[in-house]
Amino acid sequence: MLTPYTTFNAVMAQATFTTPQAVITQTGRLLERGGYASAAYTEAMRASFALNGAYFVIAPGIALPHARPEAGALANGLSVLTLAHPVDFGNRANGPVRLVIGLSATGAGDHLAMLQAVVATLGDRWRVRQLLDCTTSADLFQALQVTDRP
Amino acid sequence: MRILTVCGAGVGTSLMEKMFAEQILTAAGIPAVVDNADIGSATPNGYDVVLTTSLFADLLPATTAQVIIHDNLMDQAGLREKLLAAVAKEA
Repeated sequence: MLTPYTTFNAVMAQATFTTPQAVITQTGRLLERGGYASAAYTEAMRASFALNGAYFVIAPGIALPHARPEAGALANGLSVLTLAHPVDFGNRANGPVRLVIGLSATGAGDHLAMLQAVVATLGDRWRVRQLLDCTTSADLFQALQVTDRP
Repeated sequence: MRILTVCGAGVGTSLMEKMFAEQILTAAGIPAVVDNADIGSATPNGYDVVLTTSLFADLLPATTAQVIIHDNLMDQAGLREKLLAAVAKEA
């Protein structure tokens, strides 16, 4: 279940961005809207992509953009963005992306439970399919409340 | 057994890799210390195994540690196979 770590304001379904930079920017804006990160954090996520490339595409179709805690993380939290059309971030191993989870962690070492929740959801193909199938942000937020299967 | 996981910021990917590695090694009954680091501060020497993605494998400082490249973080069966093979080599 990801709802303990996000809010309705930080969730967006079926966005139609076409470039990685636009996707990352929106993921950051959602983190800002949720109160989890500052605008500087969004900028740092963009800079990290420019510098390090798309290593945060952690599994086929799934990206987890984030920056360092000191870049402007205000609280531990997530934003969730689904894309209507896959966007190629340039990660050859894991291909184009449709599900984006923005991550803000303050670095106090207390965000393990949040990462475990992310992993529990993303590790379940059925859950990922369910999130991608949501046509509205309200549906997506509701789908994030589903308890993960053991 | 000392294992280091490496990613870009040190708070997301490498921490997930650390969680998975600990789960796998605990389940296999292999005592190990798993640390995580960002690529800017990672010092692989002193570790037996370094676990990272293709991108960071190219950026790692030269090391005597075995480097495991694992790109699909959700593929835990694949990670288990690579990790246990690397551990067996060290033993």
